[in-house]
Amino acid sequence: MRPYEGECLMLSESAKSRIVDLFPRYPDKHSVMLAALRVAQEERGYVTEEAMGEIAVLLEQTPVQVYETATFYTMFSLQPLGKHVIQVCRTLSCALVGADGLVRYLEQTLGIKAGETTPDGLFSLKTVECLAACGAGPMMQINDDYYEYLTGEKIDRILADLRREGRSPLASGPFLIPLLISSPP
Amino acid sequence: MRERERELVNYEKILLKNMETPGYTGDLAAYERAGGYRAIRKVLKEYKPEQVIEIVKKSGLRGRGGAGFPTGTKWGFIPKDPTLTKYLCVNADESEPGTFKDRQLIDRDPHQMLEGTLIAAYAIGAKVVYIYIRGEFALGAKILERAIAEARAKGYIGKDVFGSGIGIEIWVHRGAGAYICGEETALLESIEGKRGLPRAKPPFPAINGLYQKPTVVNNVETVSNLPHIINRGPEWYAAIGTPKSPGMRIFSVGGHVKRPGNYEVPLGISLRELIDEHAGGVRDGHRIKAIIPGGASAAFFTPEHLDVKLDFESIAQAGSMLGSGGVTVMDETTCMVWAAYNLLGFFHHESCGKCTPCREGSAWLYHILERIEHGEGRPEDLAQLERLCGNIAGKTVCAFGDAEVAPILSTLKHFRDEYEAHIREHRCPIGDGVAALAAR
Amino acid sequence: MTTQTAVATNTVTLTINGQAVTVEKGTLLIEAAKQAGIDVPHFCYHPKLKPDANCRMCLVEIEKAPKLQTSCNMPAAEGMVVSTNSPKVSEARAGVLEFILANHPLDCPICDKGGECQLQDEAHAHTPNYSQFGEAKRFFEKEYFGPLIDKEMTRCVQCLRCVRYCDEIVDSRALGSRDRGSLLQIGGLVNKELDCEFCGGCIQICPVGALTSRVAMYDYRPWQLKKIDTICPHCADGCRLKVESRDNVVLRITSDAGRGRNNGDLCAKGYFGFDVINRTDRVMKPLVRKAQGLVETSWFEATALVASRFAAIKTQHGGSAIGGIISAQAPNEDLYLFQKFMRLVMGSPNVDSTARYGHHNTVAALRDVVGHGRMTASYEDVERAQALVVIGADLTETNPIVSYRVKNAVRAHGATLVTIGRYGANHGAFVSNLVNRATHPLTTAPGQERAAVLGLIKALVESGRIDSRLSASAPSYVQRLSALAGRLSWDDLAARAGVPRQAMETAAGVYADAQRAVILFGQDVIRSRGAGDTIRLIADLAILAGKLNAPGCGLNPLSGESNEQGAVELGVAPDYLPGLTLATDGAARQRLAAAWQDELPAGTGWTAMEMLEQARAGTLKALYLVGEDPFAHLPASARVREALAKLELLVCQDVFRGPSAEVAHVCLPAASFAEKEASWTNHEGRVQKGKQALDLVGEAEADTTIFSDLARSMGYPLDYAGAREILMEAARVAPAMAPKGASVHPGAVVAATLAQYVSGGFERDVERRFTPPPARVMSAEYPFQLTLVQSLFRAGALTARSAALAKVPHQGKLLVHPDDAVKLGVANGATVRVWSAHGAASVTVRISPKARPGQVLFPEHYAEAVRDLVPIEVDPATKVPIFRETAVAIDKTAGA
Ligand SMILES: Cc1cc2nc3c(=O)[nH]c(=O)nc-3n(C[C@H](O)[C@H](O)[C@H](O)COP(=O)(O)O)c2cc1C
Ligand code: SF4
Ligand code: FES
Repeated sequence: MRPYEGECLMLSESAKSRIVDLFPRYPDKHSVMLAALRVAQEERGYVTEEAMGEIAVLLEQTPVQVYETATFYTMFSLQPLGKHVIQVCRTLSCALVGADGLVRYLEQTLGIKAGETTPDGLFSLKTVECLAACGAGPMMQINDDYYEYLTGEKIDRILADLRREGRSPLASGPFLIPLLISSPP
Repeated sequence: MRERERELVNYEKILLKNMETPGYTGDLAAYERAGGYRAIRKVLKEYKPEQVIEIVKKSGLRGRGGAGFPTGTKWGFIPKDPTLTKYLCVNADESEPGTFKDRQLIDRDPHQMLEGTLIAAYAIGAKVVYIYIRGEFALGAKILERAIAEARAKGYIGKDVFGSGIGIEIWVHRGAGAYICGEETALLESIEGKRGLPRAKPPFPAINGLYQKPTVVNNVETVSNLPHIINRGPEWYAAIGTPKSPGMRIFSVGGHVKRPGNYEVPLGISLRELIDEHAGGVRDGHRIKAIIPGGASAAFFTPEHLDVKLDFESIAQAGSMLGSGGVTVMDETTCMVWAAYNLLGFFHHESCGKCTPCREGSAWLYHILERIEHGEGRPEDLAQLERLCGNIAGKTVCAFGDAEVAPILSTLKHFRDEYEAHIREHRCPIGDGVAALAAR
Repeated sequence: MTTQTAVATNTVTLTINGQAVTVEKGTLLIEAAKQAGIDVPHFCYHPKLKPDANCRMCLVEIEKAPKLQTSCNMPAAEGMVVSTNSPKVSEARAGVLEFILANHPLDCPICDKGGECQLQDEAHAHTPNYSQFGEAKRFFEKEYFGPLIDKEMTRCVQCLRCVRYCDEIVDSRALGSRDRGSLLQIGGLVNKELDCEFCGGCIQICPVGALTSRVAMYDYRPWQLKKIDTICPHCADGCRLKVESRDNVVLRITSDAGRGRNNGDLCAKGYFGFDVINRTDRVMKPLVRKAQGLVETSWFEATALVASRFAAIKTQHGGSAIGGIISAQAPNEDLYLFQKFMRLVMGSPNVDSTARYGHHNTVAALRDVVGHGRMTASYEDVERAQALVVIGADLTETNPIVSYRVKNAVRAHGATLVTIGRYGANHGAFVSNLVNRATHPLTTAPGQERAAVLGLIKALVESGRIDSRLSASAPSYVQRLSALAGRLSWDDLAARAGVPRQAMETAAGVYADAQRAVILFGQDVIRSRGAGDTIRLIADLAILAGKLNAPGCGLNPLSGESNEQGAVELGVAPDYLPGLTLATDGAARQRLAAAWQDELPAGTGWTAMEMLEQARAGTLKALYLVGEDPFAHLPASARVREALAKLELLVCQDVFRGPSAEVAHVCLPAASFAEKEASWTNHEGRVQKGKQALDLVGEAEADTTIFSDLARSMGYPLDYAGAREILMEAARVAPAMAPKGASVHPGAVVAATLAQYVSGGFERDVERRFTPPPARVMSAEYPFQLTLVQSLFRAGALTARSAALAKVPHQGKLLVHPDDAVKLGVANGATVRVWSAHGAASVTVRISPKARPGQVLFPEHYAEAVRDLVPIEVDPATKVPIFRETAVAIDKTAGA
């Protein structure tokens, strides 16, 4: 038997050391909060309550301080998400060039609504605000990767890649635009 | 990703020069081959911090983050007391809808901004710098970390910068999804690990900033200019652009143009030139209906404003602002109520919730626009919108409050008939605003 | 001329609404306006908190400023021209209020805040009587916020005063804000019940009805309440509280910001623990023992019976066969009259108070050093200190208000904090712990606080930090102590204390080098074996560093009960007469006899523990217990029951019927603190007066009335016109008691006493106190060291009866270090068996690093069985019973 309940949802030792390694960067451990939450999120795909408690101890804060920060930033989720979190930019510039159509296309293809996760736990779909790719819209971010200049065909390929390999070579590289629009990459 | 060499327009590029050179990788060796890290060496050898501040003042450089505050003057507010710890924060949060220039400066030429950062840190006496990069820029963060590691390995960053005996550490601090963290005091809170709530001012960051210490926040593009100002002299820089808005500026052009992208041009060229000559003009068979000249926080312009000069003063005079340099072009297929509604969706979602007028007002405005766009508007709504905007503008903790009312007030001013049509006809006369996704 | 310049640089003059106002530099505009009699409407501003300027209600117009400015964060500047009521300001204010009200449910008729709500008031004054909000109102899922506090998010104005209070004042950070934008809410962790110190501060500071107390929810309307100020009886911090009642039932307790030693801050006991007063199972009538047990009777009969029985025993065996013990929670008037009653009416020297359980160690140790047992530095000195050393005290649990001051010194003013004691940091928990804030935590083995103090002294000597004036004025003291310190071995000290030498050296440096430094020490020192030696050593540390009586410095003992200080100063002790003179001091006896116009009983009386012993031996025949119940306080090894059962007469006078009443012959119903007009002396030595907030409940009588009635019946009238008259007499015969007014700190070191001490008095037991305490050897049989500690939520028998306090989660648990929990194989909430050579108990575990490895902590007043594990020892000099520590074994109970 373990001392705390819900041990399996807690941070691993390597996660903890990734957090502690950042302490020297700041005069105050509190500053590692966002990074610590990111580590927690990466570890389980979402931020568990147990992890928040542990971050509190590491950072010498109370769990509520961790929680209030976690709920402020959209990149943290306190609920389990799919393996690939698709985030479609819905803000004006992308909306002008087809973001809403992109969301509809994804909804149809995945058979879920924005805000939902596929039953196989592979994909979650959300809409988000401007991701600074406005000139390359419509676009989406899946986990860490940006995908730009999207078309129906390209989306099909990306989803197929992700299903098959877990990643897709269509992810954008270092950003530089304009590119040649008439012949998309 | 395949790229094609870009057709060069007549102006001499400064910030984009390296990265637009074919084969430029952006790593340390490439940057040094292109003449990088000369400026910081010169600064460390030849100038005292005050002299650097003087040079930057003389160059007339103004902040590229939004407000256009003179950079040298901002640095001058930092107390000179050498015993005080000071911080520099580089604002790489780039979240203003329509803006995507900093991302490119980070991804493609990270050492240029790092060199600028070192110069700024030296000028204000900061020994530690945090680059606050928006959380979504995972790639950018990786590129920056790699660049910093390269520079640190060569002794350009760290305890003894270029053997000068001066220590400057640079750390990347990643955000986690909150537009408001671009606001400089919210950014400081976020570095401190807290919710990104703007601070009430006074006290100002120059006195009481990060960890209560004197702090400067500068935008990525702002610091990227610094090596060039040092290398070529403030007079050279001041001669570019207009007397009050000197230098080059990267405009991010998006929306219904043929060739969206980042264009570095001298301040003071016309909006028309930027859109027609650089961004290839509005897409074929369409005409421009509205332009946002400086990010979502800037008031909408109409085609009548195409000859307005793109400098801080001219745009302000014409009733909008240069802001972040994000130019969004909309053609006649765009419903203006829908556009305002879309942006209010953004502001409603991104309001931090700290202060009453913005927290309550953004939601209220959003709901009214939602109703109007969906054909449920009431005649009294328009006066109500104007009244509520008036109760927000100028009364909030941070400038977000002024930003969120700009799309409404400007569309109401220029396109009031469209609002009235929505209310009269109980529907959107243009359509649901959904642009289709291209199949291929 | 010089003074004029000084004034000119320290003040600014500005114009507010056309009126010239001169204020101190740095004054916020909102405060400057207040000083000019102008109220600026506001929600988020509170003078106790750092400005946040989030509500935007306090906007004002400043000439030449382009925009309206919030007056709550804008400092007044010379020549500013401010308007708080221009049309522009009024319009903006109405706009802000409109926003706040838009989503508000307007449920004032059922809101407990109705009638004293800032939002109601401002809305009444500043908004039109119709709403232009035509959207659906925002809705928040109702959240269960625990048994004590109700949260109604729809009423919230998001000013975050509660969150900021929880952070800045309490340092508990159990409340936070969640989500953002228009969905921003305040709350605890996820949607869990609140888990915190339950100080009630969030409720008190909420300007609207978003946070309300569930302890009398919907039971009253604020304007119906009778509000009377008195002093909290639950600890020695001495908070001013306002008892708010209707029909003689207390419905809430509040405290006004800016008043009292607590500045309006309270703890759980003060804020939520009032329900005990209303309990109907109080002793309502006198009870006498008949064949069938205790039966109700009339006062007439009871008084006659008690008086005649005491008189008979006195006649037969002499006054010295009678003893009296009173609770040190009692006010000064009760205490003074009780000892006078015992000494004159009973003719007995055997009078003692529960200050015997600890504070007497402090007084005995410090009386010939500083002249008394009070704090020599005020709360304000603590708050302004640059360095604080807290020794053997878990301040958050024992003295919440002092702990707020310490935390504020550290957090707001950057003071360094050295903690010396057995507690570890417990980050991640909501009940704050000073060790979490310590810049220099010296975690010692239990009972080895003294070894660390010796280390600090040694470091002081070796680093040449001894006060130079002292070296000149008291060379023999300095030389002797230096020599003794020199004899100590660093290795030995470090090993005993379990603290590295360097940590002790750093701590000594931090303390000695600060200009303003205060030492606080608490129960782990005062109620420990060899307490007197440790306390005198702590005093030596302060003296050697020149920090005992330098301005802003001091030595602060923390006492346990609310009026231990008063009890000792008023002579409620066999060894002291009123005025803290020794009972053996002939001149003092004569002075007192003259004042009382009667002889004092001869001989040195018995202390509380001796009385019990003599009862067991059959020498003490009668015992008068007032508000004290030794049965409820002492472990089984004190054999209290055996002692009480032997008595010919046991009289228990109390608010409740405690376990001692089982063998009492008579029980007399006493009034609670709220039913008395009385005064209490806190550990700073401040005499604070409280008013009678309630009428007497049932047939209860004030203790002073009962003493007077008994005295009259026993033919020795002690009659007074009221509390005031008793206090005046007390002040006359015990001049040290004289209230000096709230602004004077009464704890100043008596210079002559100190001079005597350093010139020779220090020699008493000096060799012994410079000998480190023996290291404790743990046996394999009992591998854990148990300490009985104090709890924030239960300070004694009275608070133990509060149904509200009992609802606080996670109390009364055995704290076990995480490593030990792994070894024992127990999880949070597991039941374990704990046993010592004296007994066994079954308790629930809470895992917390606050308990160090090999040690476990259990709060006193929670389980008798645990207390009974601890053997009692009596300090040979002061007769203070020591029963806080023992070695125990722990085992997982089968099935857990
Ligand atoms: C709501 C809001 C969002 C902002 N977002 C950004 C941003 O994303 N990037 C940025 O550089 N500046 C942003 N700013 C401006 C910054 O507050 C600040 O003025 C700027 O970083 C200063 O740098 P500069 O002087 O180099 O322009 C924002 C301001 C506001 C009020
Ligand atoms: S204006 Fe909006 S974003 Fe700025 S502090 Fe107020 S609520 Fe936050
Ligand atoms: S009281 Fe000033 S903004 Fe709330």
